[in-house]
Amino acid sequence: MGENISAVVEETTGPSFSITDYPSSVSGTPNSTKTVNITVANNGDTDGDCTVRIKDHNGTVVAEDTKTITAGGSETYSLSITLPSETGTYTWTIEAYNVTNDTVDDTKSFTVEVSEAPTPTAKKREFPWWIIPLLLGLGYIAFSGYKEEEYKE
Amino acid sequence: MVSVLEIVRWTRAQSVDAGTPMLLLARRDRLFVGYTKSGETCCDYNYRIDIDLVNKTVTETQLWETTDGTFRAGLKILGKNLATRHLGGYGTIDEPCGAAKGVFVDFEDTSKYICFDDNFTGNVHVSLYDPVSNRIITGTGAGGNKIHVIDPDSFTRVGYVLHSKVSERGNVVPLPRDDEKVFIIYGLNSATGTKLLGIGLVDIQDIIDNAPDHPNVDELGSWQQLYETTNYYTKTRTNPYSNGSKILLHGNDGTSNKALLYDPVNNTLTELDTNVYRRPLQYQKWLTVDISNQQFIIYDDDGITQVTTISDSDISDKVNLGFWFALLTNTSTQEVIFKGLSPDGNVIPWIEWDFENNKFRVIDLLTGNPISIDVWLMWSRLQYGISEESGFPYIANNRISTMTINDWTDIPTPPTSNVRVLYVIPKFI
Repeated sequence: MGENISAVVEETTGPSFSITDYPSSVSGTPNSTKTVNITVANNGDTDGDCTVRIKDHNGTVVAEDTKTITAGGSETYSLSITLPSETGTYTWTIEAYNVTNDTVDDTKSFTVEVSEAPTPTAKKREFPWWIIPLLLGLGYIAFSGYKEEEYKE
Repeated sequence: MVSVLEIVRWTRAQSVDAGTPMLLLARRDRLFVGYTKSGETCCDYNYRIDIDLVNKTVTETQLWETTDGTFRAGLKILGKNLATRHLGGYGTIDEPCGAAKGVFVDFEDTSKYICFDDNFTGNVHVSLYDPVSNRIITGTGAGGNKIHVIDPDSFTRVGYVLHSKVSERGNVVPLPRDDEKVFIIYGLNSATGTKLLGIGLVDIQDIIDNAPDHPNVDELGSWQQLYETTNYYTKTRTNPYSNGSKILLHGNDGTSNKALLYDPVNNTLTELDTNVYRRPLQYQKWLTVDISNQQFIIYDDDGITQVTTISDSDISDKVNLGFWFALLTNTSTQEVIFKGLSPDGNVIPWIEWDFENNKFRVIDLLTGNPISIDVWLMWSRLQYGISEESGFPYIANNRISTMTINDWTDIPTPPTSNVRVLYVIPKFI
C-alpha cells in the first residue's frame, strides 16, 4: 500500500507460455484417431489465455484448444488428432499461441508414424516327428522280411 | 460543484512572519512543513505534522531549526519493489551543515543527510526520482547553478552538472516530460548586468552518466537549445511548473516579478501578469489564490482565462499551494489551516496504491472511503512528490489518458520499460 500522486510501476511482461510436456512420437494406422496430451506453463507475471495448436506436415491446424493459465501455473491439453491416410513418417508441430500478446511463445515438433495393419502370417506346420519312429518301424519290418527271404534261399 | 474543504487547523508552534511552505504531503495524515521568516534573519523551522483526521487535531514535531532557509523540495519515492522514502532539500545555514548552504535529508531519519558545502551553489529546489538509474536529480533554488545527482541508497552526491551561462547565483532547474528527456530552465539571479532566462532539452541519461565529471549541461551531446531571452532574469527562483500542456516560469523584467507561460509546441513565451503564484491543478488547468479578494482561482490552459473562482473567508495573509492542497496561514494569530480542493463539495480526492495486487484507487482523504471520479493518467521517467515545488510532466508524446475510477483499478502497463512513473490526477472541473 502507498499514497502519492505518482508511483513507479514495474514493467510487466504479461503472460508467457512454454510447452513443458508433449509426446515425441505418435503412431497408428491410416485415418486412425489418437489423443495427444500437451502441458503448457505460464512463466509470465499475469494470467493469460493460451491456445495450443497442432499443425500437420502441411501446416494445417488439425486440432486446437484454448485455456486460461494463471501466472506461474500450468495446464494440460488433451487434443484428438486423425492420422494421415497414407502410410509414412511425418513431422507435425505443436504451437503455444499467446492470445494476450498475439504471439507464438513456443513451438515443438513430434513424429507421426503411419503404417498398414500387420497381415496375419500362416501358422508354420510343425514337422510330424511322430512319423519318424513309424517310418523306422516300417523300414525295419520291410528289411527283416527281405532277410528272411534271403535266408530262405 | 468545485469547492474547498477544511482538513484540519491548528496554531503553529513557532511565531514567524512568513507562510507555511508545503514541503511534502507524505501521507493523508502526515505533512512536512516549514515555519519560515522573511529574509535572512533567524530563525526558520521544519516540522512534521501528524494529523488526527477523526478528532481534527495535529501533533507537531520539530525536525530542524536553522539560521536561514527552509526545505522546499519534498520528494516521496514510491513504487513496487522500492523502499518508500520521504526526502527533502534546500539551502540552510547552521543546522545541520554549519555555514555551508544546501542540504538534502531523509525526513524519516534525519541522521541521514548530505551537506553541499559549496556555499551559494548548493541550494536544492525541485527534487525528482529516476527509477531507471535509481538516482535523484535536483534543481537549484535561490542562488545556485547546479543540478545535483544523488544516490538515495548510500545518501551520497554522485555528481552534478552546471550551465555554461550560469556561473554566478542563478537557477538551473529540471522539469520532466512524458519520455526520457527533461527540460532545463536556467537563468541569472542578479538584476545587474545581463538578464537571462532560457530553456533547453536534454536526455536524463546524459545527465546521470556525466554528472561525476561536472560538465555543463548545455554542452552534453543530447542538449537542444529551445528558447532564450535577455528580457527577464530569475531574481530568486524561476519556479518552473507544467500542467502537462504548458510550462509556467517566473521572471523579473527589472521592475516587477512576472508569471510567464512557455508553449513548447510553438516555442513562445507569453507574459501573463504579476500574480506569480500559480500551480498546476490538473491537465491544462492552473490553480492560484487571490489573497486580497479572499478567493481561489482556477485558470484555463492559457493561464489568463478564469474558469471559476472559489471564495474562502479563511484566506488571510499567506497561502501556500501544492497541487489541489493549500496551507492558509494567518501570521498574526499563527493559525494554519490545511485545506483541499473538492470536485463536489463532499470529498477531497487522494490516490491510494496497492502494488501487491497491481491496483490503485481514489479515496476521500477525509474519511478513507473509495470515491468514483474521472482522472488523468500521465507517464514520465521522473517522479515528483506532493509538494509546492512539484508539477506534472509535460506531455510531448501523447502519453496521457483519462478513465473513470470507481474502486480498485488495475495499474496500466507502462508505455516503455524506462517511462514507468504513473501520475494519477483527479479531474476537478
